[in-house]
Amino acid sequence: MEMQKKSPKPARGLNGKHGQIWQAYIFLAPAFVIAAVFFIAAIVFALFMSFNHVNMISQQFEFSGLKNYIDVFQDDVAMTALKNTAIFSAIVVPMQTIIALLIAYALSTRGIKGKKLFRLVYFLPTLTSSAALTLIFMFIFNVTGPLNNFLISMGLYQHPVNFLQNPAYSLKVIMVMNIWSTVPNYMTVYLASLVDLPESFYEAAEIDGASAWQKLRYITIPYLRPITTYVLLTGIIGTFQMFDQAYIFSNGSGGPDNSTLTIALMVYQYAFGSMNTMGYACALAVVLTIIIFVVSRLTERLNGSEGLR
Amino acid sequence: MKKWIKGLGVTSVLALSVGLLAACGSSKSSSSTKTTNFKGQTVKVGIWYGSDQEREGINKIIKGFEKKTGAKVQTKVYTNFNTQIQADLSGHTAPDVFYMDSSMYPWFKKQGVLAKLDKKQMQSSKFYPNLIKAFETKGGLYGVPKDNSTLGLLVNKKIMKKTGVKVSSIPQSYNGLIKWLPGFQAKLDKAYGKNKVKAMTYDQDMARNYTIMATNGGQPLTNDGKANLASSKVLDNMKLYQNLVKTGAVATAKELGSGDNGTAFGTGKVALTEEGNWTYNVQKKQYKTDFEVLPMPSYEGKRRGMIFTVGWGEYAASKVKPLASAWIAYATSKEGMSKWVKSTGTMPSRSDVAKDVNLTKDSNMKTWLNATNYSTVWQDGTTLTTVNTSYQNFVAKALEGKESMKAAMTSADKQANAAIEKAH
Repeated sequence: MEMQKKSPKPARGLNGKHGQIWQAYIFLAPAFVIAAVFFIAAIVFALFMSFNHVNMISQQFEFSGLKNYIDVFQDDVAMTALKNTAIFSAIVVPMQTIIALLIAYALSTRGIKGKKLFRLVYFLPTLTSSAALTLIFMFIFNVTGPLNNFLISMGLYQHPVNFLQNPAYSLKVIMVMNIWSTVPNYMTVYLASLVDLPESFYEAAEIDGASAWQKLRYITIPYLRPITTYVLLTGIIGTFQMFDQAYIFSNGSGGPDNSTLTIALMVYQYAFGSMNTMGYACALAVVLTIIIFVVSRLTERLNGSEGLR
Repeated sequence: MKKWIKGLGVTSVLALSVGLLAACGSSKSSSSTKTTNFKGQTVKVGIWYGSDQEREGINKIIKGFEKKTGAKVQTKVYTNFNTQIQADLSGHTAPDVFYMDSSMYPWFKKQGVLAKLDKKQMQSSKFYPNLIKAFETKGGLYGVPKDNSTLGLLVNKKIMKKTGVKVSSIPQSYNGLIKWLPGFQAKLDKAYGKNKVKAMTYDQDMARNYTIMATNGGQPLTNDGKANLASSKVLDNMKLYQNLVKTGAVATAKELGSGDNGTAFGTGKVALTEEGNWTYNVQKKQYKTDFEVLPMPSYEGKRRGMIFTVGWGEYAASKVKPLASAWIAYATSKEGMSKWVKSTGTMPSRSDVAKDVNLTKDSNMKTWLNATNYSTVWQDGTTLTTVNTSYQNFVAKALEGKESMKAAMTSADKQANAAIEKAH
């Protein structure tokens, strides 16, 4: 009501330009308070703890300088975890991006029948909780499981492969699982953007005699570049933080032979194991944060987009 | 309207403070006279539910206790106990009494969060000695075992029948099993098709392997809590598992795509499995498995198995200690434990309750109960979890034959000890 009463004088209080900014702040305040308590304060406290030897239960904090950080870089296990995480990310992120893009491209092609059904079926994995998903995959890949039986009946090999307990395979199984469960989500993001792509671009290209591959390469991919940046960034963050699947897979140990040990799993082990090593866990978490930040920035640059502005 | 709300607030605050004063008054009188009248007080108990039957069991104990003492019992149910209790202890909001696993007891004790309990009040002499000892430090009692679980060798009678092998022909020692398993596996392959049913499960978990590892003076952990898995006596004992795996007739539950031994056994993927009495009702009701429980096989001339026991601990910073102690005493009394055992089908930690509920009339339960006499309690200092994590991480590679056991255990020791060092 008051908005319609346009007064000739400059507005005061909560009206007018100045007031609108204040209104915006008031609306932002609840979210800001929550963020301040649960994120900013928590991050600051974690930073503080990473420079201390911490006993959470007796609330003892003993300043230890850079010791925790030096330990991280002298710890072979941390380096293994970092290597695992990096390999995991390096394989999963490009794969999930490419597969999501291709499926989205195929589904957006005109004239395909049953699009809705395809979309529904493809989206199902995302709706499954990752805990359930891990158990399903552990069933599929087990020694007497369907995959081994299928491959043996195809005559590819004689003795079943121990996918779950052989260090050479275990991380790869998690990779397959992760790609399978994340692709649908990204596919949906791509699809949403492809709907807006003017059909006239393709028509013009067709007149010039472009093939399907050329249309994808020179129209679809450049058009989707900002979306690709988003997909890559969330993919990198997600893969570097991978925890639940490795935890369920290895019963929390990161085994066999450290092959499924990720940084996030290691942080958990040190933070909530039966030892007073919260400080070391925080140092690991801070290092992980810095790595994710650097890698994300690099990817954003390499993708050549303006970023997410 | 606003005035009305204000008025309501003031009256409620007044009412609350009057109530609090009343509560203080009653607590004073009860603690001085040491009666069982705790009217108006509340005790908070921290627990987890292993099954619906456990929920029913705890509710029965709560009802009995509330009736007897007039106190109120509030439960706090944990879903990931070891993580959440740490958060509660850090925030000084831990319950007055809480469950603790025997393997975690040394850790809780070391953190100084446990109150010393009165042995007489807890009737400590009535418990199986090895179980109550698991919660004692330097002669002081800091926890009371609420029940007791042991392992047995479960045999699927239906599978045995189909293969034409008699249950009585199953060897009673690991050495005998190692010789017998390949022939049995061949019969299984013939009856069910190759690779469909495994003869037996084994575990890659110190919680199960510990008793074997510690045979003949083996010391998986040194006295000061360092990992000692690559020591020669432990390595000698580990040969048992290497030989079991070599038969080609054993697999872990995970290799069979099951979460645990009970699931693998219940779904008919294995004929024999070493599992605890907690699986009894699950096998009977959920899977309807026709099975029999044999005692654990012997190794080096003696039957060996593990005992898992969870005890009640009292929070050192509890504000209602007399009430908290009374709760523990009641829950682990003959009356309280009988209620618990009857609902849950678990085994009591007191011999008088075992006699009372007539557990031994069921031959399978009797086998599990007898295992209490020859088995080892799962406990070894404050660093056991860390060492076990490292053990699980490396043992698979050695058992697969990709690396020597010595090399694998040396890696496990190195990793565990590096982690243990960081805590100092």
